[in-house]
Amino acid sequence: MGANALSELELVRAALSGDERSFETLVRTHADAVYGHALRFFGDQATAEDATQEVFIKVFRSLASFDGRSAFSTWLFRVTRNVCLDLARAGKHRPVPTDLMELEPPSVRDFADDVVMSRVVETAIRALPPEERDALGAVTLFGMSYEQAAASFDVPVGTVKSRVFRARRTLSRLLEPTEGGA
Amino acid sequence: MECLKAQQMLSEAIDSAVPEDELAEARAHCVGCEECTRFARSLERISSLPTPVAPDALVSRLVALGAQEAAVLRTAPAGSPEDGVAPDGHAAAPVRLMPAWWAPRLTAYAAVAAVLLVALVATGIGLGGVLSPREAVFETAEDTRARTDGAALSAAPAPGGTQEATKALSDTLIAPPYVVIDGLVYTPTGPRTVDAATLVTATPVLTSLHAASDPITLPAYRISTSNDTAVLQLTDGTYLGFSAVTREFGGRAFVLTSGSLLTSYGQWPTLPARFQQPTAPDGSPTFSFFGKDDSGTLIYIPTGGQATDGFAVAPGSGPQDPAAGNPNWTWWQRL
Repeated sequence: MGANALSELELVRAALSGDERSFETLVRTHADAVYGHALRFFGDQATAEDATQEVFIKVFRSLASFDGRSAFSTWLFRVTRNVCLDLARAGKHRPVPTDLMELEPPSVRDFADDVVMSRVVETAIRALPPEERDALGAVTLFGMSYEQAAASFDVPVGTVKSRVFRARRTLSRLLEPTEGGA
Repeated sequence: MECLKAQQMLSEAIDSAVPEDELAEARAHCVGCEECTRFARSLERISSLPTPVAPDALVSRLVALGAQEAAVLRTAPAGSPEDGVAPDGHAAAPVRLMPAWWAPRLTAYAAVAAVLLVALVATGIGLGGVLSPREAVFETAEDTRARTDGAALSAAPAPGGTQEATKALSDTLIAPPYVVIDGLVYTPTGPRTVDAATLVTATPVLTSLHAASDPITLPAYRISTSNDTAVLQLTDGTYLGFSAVTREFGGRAFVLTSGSLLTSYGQWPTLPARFQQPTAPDGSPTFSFFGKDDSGTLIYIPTGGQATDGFAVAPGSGPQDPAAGNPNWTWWQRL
């Protein structure tokens, strides 16, 4: 267990003892990752917010089951993924489909615009195959190592590397800037 | 270096440390390769972009939820009769489903209900007598569970009620039909056929099942294909199926254990002998409060213990809890 994992465990134990600040720290540290995953999964802001709230309620209630043997982000990622899948399975919320064919490559000018490019990239990420999108999210949103992600998906490390790479290559091809307007 | 290898190296370098020489080789390859140059440029651009940010209003709501949960946890571990909070008093209080103002009222109502039921039982009337005297007289052991659950539901201490009321109530209830096989508590599921190839011999069980006669020893088996299932071979050679009494914690099943042999249905499991009986509602000196299981029941661990290996549950758990009605502390180990 590394120093970071130890501090996470201490944070969780403090939260379990009723320390309000620890709960806030957990929320502020991880809300973006959970929300980001949910947004990419559902493609809808309101649904992503609902899912994020569900995730944190579940996390708060099962905080005692976090034993520090894995990183908190690994545990949180698993909860987040399951909540999104459960919500979709239950028919409460359905992912908004995104068609890769509808994506238009950005113009050279848009390519340099962070706001426009972020929107385009997020749309493109939603259109990725789920296993590639999840692998990319585990690594880039939740900050998991390839090894942690591999353990979480129960696949070899090489598979995670391949999925992340394939996701980036697809995005790269989709988002190659054109000289024309878009 | 080939294009694919170079691109993989560039991608991997974003997330983790890669060998310097290989990365240098990949970059050198890009200088002379138009395709890889484009990939490297896109990769750098995509990686530099901000990822989604949770709206401030959402974060504020989450922080507020956390504060609510913290407040509940601060009051829970003590669980003393003085503060009127049962050991799992807050567990059944959903963060979102129950407004904060309702909790103290529900506590009071539950306490009143518990006291009324105790009074009914003490005067010899009982719920059975009030509702259905004839059924009460002819109740069979198989009905025990239903009656126990019904009574517990009517006068459950959670999320309110006093421990005294809980104890008095528990003393009047009969335990569900249980047998103990190799220290684990099982409840009957009915007659069943078995595949002899799946039977794993367990320690024979001394039980009279639901009969009033003296207990007899019955051969017991666990089922190799289902780790929460066991069977007893009855005297006529048929098999009676049993399912382990479990609860969930961290998505994993934990099974109820018993330190005492339960020689007939209706006896409560007890804490294994290796544990000293707690003398305080917070589990001390044997246990200390740890957190909640998946259903929200408070759980306790011994000093130096790991909740993932096993934990204790205090008497007075909620009506839906698998330990409901048990006047004893119970120990749950990993299935």
